Amino acid sequence: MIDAQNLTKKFDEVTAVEGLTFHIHEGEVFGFLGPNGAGKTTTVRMLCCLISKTGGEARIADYEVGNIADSLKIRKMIGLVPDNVGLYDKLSAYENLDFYGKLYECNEKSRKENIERFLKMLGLWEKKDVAAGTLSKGMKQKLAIARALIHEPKVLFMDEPTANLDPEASKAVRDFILELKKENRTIFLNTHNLDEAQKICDRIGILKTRLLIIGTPQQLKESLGGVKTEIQLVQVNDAIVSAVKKVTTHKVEIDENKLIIDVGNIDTAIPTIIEAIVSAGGRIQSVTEFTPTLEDVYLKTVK
Amino acid sequence: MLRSVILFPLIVSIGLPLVVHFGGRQHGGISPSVLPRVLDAFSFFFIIGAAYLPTAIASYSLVGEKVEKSLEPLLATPIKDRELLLGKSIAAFLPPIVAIYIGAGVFMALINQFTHQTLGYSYFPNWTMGIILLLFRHCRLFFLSRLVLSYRPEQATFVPPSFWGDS
Repeated sequence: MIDAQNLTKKFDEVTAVEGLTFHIHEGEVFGFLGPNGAGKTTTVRMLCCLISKTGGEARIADYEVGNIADSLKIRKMIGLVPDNVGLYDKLSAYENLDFYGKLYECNEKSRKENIERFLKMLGLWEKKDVAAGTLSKGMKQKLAIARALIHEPKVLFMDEPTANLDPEASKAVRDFILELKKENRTIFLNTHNLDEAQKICDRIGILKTRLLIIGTPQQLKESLGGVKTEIQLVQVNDAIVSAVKKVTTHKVEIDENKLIIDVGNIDTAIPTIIEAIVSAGGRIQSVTEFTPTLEDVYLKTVK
Repeated sequence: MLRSVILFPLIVSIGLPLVVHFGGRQHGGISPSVLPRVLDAFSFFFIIGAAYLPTAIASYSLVGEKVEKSLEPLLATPIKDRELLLGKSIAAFLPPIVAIYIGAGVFMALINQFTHQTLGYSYFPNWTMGIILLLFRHCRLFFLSRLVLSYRPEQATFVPPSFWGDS
């Protein structure tokens, strides 16, 4: 559904996005993770035909991003929930949606039906006549989502939809995204929230100007070697590390006073390792088995 | 901005005739030889209004969308640039000009009412006012340039403050 080949954007001397290559399938929820300034919003703006690309190619369905003739067709089939909702404060919730429905050339009947449907789905029907500027942050975000869906787009771009929302509002938005997923919409989600990405996204890409890694949440975690064992010691020294490396071929990482070993089978491999540590004078405080989290993947990848 | 569109023509169309009506009362009113020049001078306030109001609205129209963060979702819709600019120009031009024309009508009617006894004839409508009202058409070019500059905020040098500090 969305194809990017070597997509690049430069602002004068600054390279915001470089060499992005990915393919997003129809009906997939794809998450983009990255630090501030990584190029996530710039990527969304290029794909939504809001800014031009400097290099590379991108396609949404059969239409080419950057082609003037195709840009209107692309904009008809996508919906955008920007990071700043940008509602018209003096118009009511209903009027905001009605205005955008007209811009998307929806006929009156479908426009009215969709406004009612999405306002009810998002719990905003009772607030339909309230000025948008008086709504809470969470309600404004939901209204922005309704605005992006008013014309039933096939592709939805969401730029940090739960940023600055309280936990309840964030959950409501996440649940709504999962409902949209059931409708086989393709969703491109920019987020800082690793937990959210893990819960919602089919695949995740970690971006820092370049696309560093891409895969399902499970694949990303496995890229760090799967299950590991963490041995917390009072103090780690060279003698202890040497002793451990003599009895195991598994990768050993040192993190302050912790040894992290790429082995998850506590019953077989670990007793030998513990014996080696004790023999070398090490004093063990705890032994824990864990699976790398998405946060571990993210922090290691963007470093 | 809406307050400016209503208040400015209201003040000019009613306030200035009241100035003519009550002005110089202590000294027997404004002299008939001076009154036409005063009325012509007051008429030019409508040019100021016709130039200022659409310009102020036009200058802020697209920059304002950017400031309010509503430009991005707007541009993400399948609206063509020329459609957007046309819509903005109509919104910036029509309401103030309609208000100015209505105000001019009220102004002329009140002036005729207040000055008929002094002058002995109805001063308005006349060629001066006719030229002023026709000049509004040509203000379009000026305010359209402000609209285009609003589209490119890095080139906008001045956005006139709106009347009564309205936004």
